[in-house]
Amino acid sequence: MSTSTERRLPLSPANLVICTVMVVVAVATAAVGHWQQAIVVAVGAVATVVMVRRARRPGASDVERVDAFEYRDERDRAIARDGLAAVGATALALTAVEYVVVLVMRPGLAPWSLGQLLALAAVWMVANRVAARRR
Amino acid sequence: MRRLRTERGLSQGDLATAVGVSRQTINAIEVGRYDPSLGLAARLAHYFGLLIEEVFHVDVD
Repeated sequence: MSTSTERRLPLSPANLVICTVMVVVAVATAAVGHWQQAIVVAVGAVATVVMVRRARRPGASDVERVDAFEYRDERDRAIARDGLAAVGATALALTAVEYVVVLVMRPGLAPWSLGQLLALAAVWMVANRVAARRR
Repeated sequence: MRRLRTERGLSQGDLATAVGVSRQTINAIEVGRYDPSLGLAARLAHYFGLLIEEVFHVDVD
């Protein structure tokens, strides 16, 4: 939940971390000579800042706030929960498909893909148990 | 809830500010698209000086 202190900041703490990480990645990518990718990440960081600033305006729409992780109330958080649940379900399904494809096309990489699938499944099970304990 | 709000000459934005939510949330509650939490329902009822069951109709069937 945003506090009045957070409201005075140009970005919420979560978005400050996200943008800082993007800038660090852009600089690191440029340092190793991948200028095009560095520019793409830097543009992404600027776009994120612009999106967050728009979402923090008093007249911002609910979708703008949820897209930018700038929740104002319980309904924003409920919308975000539904959206992120859809992302999680899609990630699980896509990773399962990816595992099968990798197993057939590049068997040497299959353990990594399986690890990703198991990690997602583990996060899902832990999240279910945490949610069940809270409600 | 829309009737209670308009009777008092409040806009959705005014009520939203008073109970600490967004204007879109007040609109969603008024059109029946969003069921508020017990806490928010209590805040709204308290704001109008009424009981929760006087503001919100709950179907028990």
